[in-house]
Amino acid sequence: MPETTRARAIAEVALMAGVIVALGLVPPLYVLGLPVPITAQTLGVMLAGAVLGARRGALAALVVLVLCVASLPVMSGGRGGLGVLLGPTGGYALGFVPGAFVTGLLARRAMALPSRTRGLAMVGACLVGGVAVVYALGIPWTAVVTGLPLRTTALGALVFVPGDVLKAVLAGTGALLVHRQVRVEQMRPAAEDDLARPRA
Amino acid sequence: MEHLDLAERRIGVVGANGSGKSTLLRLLNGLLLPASGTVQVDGLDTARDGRAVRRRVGFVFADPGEQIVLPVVGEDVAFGLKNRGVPAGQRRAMVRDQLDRLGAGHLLDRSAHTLSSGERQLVALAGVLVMNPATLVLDEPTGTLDLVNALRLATLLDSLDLQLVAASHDLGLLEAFDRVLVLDEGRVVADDVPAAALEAYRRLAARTAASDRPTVTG
Amino acid sequence: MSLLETTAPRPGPLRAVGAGTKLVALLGVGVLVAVVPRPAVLLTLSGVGALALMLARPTWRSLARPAAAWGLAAVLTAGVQLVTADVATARDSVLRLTALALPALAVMASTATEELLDAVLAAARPWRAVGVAPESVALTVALTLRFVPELVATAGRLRDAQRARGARPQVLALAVPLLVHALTMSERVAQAVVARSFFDRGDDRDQLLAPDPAPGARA
Repeated sequence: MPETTRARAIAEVALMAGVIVALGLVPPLYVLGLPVPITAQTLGVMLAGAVLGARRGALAALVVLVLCVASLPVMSGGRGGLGVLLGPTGGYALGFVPGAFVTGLLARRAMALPSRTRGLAMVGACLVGGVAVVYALGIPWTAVVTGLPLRTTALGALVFVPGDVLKAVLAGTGALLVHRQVRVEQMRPAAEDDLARPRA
Repeated sequence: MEHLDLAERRIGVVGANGSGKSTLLRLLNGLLLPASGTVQVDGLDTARDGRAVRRRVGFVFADPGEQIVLPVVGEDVAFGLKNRGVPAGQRRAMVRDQLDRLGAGHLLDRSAHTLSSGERQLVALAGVLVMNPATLVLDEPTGTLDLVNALRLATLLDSLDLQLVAASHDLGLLEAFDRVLVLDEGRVVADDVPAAALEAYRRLAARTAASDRPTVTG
Repeated sequence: MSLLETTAPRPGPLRAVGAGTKLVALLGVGVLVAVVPRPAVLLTLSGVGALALMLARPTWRSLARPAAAWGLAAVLTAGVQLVTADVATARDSVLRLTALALPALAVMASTATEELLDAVLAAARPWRAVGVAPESVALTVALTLRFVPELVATAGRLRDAQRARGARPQVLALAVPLLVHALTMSERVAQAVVARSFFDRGDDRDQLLAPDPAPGARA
């Protein structure tokens, strides 16, 4: 029924936005073996694209930004307000939207690959969308806001790269785990899938 | 499924999980459309006249929390009215009135996530009843409730002057109904007054439980 | 909004100005800082911002966090500039930050969340021409606000469960079940939205949200 599919789109976007916010409000979480915990919101953004696809993933990120502009405490750690977006790290937040979009585009391609290469491709999707695209927006933004030269802001950003690469690996893996349990229509590859998964 | 005419005032539906109860209920308000044949409500075809059907048939879902879609109770109860174009002032009055009638007037300005499970059920119900449906379809209405709240809900439902079609595992609720359908694997295997139908269901359930092929459904 | 308690802005001359106007003004400030970052311009913007902030009479509590964040950024930036460049450059950097921060804080302090949300959603209305129904946008935002507290609670439960097993809470052990939970919920919430006549409103188009047709999709 067409209305149910349109409603499904609205609900998926809204609940994914909710997950992105929730992951920003949860205290930092651990990764097996590592002594230092990590924050999970950027992971949520990558997952948005990798699980829901480009369009809905980007819309979910956009909803989060809309709530941020409305001064709601939805950014990592419970921050909010237009000041966050206008500030030095605003570009990284704005990057959520194109980041999720690109992640989604590549993730859909990844889903069509054989299971041997799918995992790697999914991680690659999260790296390109969730890290490269986001930094491409974040680094120049910081330069404009602070007046620091681009090289300096780029060097400064390097510090965060290892953590974000780790998140991309986690997101790529996590997305595949989610796809194994829930059927997301718009991410299904054109070819027949091997497993019969239950309709969510 | 052959021709089924649901005209009685209180109709119950029982069956194991996966037996088709949810499917049957969703055919009644057009959420699901039949693969073959038609479903008609008051002469209206669910496939062609969905809007009109949904005006007549209210649906109460198994998890009331998921049926409450807006953050504040008052807003949510007004959701259906707003969709139907009822003006704001009138909506306010109707919402207040409906909540009061359910004894839930004090919940008007509450945030949805602070409600107890009993309160959620009332709010979800209010949101549907405020639309004045002719028929109320309920999917496991007492599923999330403790015994006290379940009994309260049963009394409440009994007092409503509209047709009820309820799928439930709560056999006590259905004992007072006019007619009960027993479903098994997508087909109606018994259709009778509650006493007889529920007895048939108990026998079926016992047989299934004792059978050598354990199947997990639902 | 009931997501979390937000302090209501105090009455003052800025309250009369529309939220949409303020947001557009902030956008203008941003463009100016980016395009014409001359000290005179930055100083003027900072001055206007400071004045606006004083007129808004913010509570200290609501201001503390964002002000601290901006302050930290200013100190770090100034520090880097002093080391790598000179005092003048450091001063200009700090001026950029104040030119952005003060007006932003003034807007935040003088505008209620509801107003800001309404202003942003109003910006969605012209998109009707491209196939986005503003009511769908509003519903999506409202649904998010509705379910964030529940999702946070679920995340908390997942976290507690891991701790109860004596483990440090793991990222994927929380994120994956949370997502699966959210997605299965979305199917049922979608049904409720339909059953409660959201799509019986009249003419609206939602092409932006329409899924690509999957082969062999069931009706």
